[in-house]
Amino acid sequence: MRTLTKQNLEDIVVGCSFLGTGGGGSFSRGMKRIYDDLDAGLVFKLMSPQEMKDDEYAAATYGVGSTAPPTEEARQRYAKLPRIKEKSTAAAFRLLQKHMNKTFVATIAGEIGPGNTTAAMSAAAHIGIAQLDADTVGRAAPEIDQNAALAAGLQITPAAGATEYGDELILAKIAATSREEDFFRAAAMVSMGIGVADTPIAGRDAKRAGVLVQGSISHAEEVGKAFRMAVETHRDPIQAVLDAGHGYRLFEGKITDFKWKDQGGYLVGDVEISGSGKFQGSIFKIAYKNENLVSWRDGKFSVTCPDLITMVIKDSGKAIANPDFEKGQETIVIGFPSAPNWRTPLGLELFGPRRFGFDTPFVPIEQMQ
Amino acid sequence: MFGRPRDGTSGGATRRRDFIRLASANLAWSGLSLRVDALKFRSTLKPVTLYAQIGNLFPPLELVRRICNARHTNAHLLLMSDSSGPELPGARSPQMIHVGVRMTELDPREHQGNLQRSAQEAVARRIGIVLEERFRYHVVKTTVDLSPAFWYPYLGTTAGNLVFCRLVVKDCLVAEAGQEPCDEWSSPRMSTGMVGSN
Repeated sequence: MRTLTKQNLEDIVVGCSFLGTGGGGSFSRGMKRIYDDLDAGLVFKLMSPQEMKDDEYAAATYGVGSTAPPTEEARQRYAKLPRIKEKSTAAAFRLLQKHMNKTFVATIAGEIGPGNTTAAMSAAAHIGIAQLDADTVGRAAPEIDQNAALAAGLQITPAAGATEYGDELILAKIAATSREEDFFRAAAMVSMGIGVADTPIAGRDAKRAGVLVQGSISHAEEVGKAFRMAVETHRDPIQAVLDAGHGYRLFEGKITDFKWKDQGGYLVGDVEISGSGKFQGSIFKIAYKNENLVSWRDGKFSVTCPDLITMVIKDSGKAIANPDFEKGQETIVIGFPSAPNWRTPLGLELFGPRRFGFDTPFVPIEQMQ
Repeated sequence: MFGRPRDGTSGGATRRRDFIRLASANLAWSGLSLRVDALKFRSTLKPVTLYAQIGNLFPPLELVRRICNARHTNAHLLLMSDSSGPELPGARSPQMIHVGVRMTELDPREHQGNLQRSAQEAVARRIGIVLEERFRYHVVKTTVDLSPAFWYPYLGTTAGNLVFCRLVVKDCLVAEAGQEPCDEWSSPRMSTGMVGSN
């Protein structure tokens, strides 16, 4: 177990922005959450799954939101509701503990992304426990059942939900893995978001390879640290991120077109890039559902989920969050291999390109280079 | 040449009074001239609208390098331009300006990285000054990005307390000509629309 410094935390959030693949929550809100907690004197601790005793428990906590803006009538109705003092993620986490009659020793990040990873870390700091150096995806993902514990054959329920108004929900059992998403997404749409806690997991399981994505917080920290050090020493920060994350430079060019829409609470769209330099004459396209999922180069499938696709701004190295594109913006597309948890038949069923309706088999990024 | 003063005061006092009157007249005249000059100066300024993201944690690396190299100077505001060259930004291509501001009079150590409202206001004032002095723009409307604002976390100990800003400047006259409203700024993330494109 180690206590994280301000710089450790900044590195983690920056690293998460590259591994969030265009989603994973707001970078600036994630950073503000960390700074606010530090200003309040809270302490962030990171704990390896290997430090858990077999019978100790941890659980994931994260927020589920809706990108659809509420109607004026709904907004007025929400304004009359009471507010709880606690963060909804921490409230959901406590509710799950109460339901299971257990005291959890750590939170688990629901994904690696600047918003949702910091939500779990902040909940841990508020409750006074550690954050596990692990998450349930190894990147950011659009749906709740893209959860490595499911890919390992475990259950992610019971789950708890809490709104900022004080509503509390327990999901004791689900009929199919996709049902947790259905229930909490629906609750989020009538509450302007909901805090969720799920994947209660015993130490004996958390320590096993292939159940959680172990070391993913430290990995994000390494990526963010590489970026910082490259900026400070005037080296290419994008190359530093690729080196730290074992990634690949997939394409480079200018954004020429993009479209997006709100579809059932998800941000769905695509972006097209016209190649420059050694990619001159080529067109690269990325489709996303909150997070970047599949890509094409000159009409042929290129890197797909579960591998990571991230767009960065060329002149600053900033990872682009969907859909903050600007036409004519010079961008570099980078990619990283997914956690091995996903490269199994069940993993690909949950997070392969066909899961999202793209008729192509998964080809690992390293085999495309 | 000069008659004796009827109040019996000395010639020296009269000279002093005359000098003061003359000086006052000159001062008034100078003041008037200055005001006319200011009006002339103001009339040469182009009215623009400004969308400002204050506290950008990912400034252009070129600006970071420039600030690193200038770390021993007294310059509090280091500037780089820009996406559209020296011409006034047209409605079709708003000008992008990145600014690095070195804050010295505020103490950031009260906070772990959040840029407080008072510090944001100080940054906004400096931005307004530099846009007038260096670009001859008169900002008629400023919209500040609603995202949280931060001190730049890197280089903080060696280069002072840095705040980077991303400014999008639009020519208000072009907008008034009916091409695009100059006071309506939005990004897909902040807008209330349900569908977007470029």
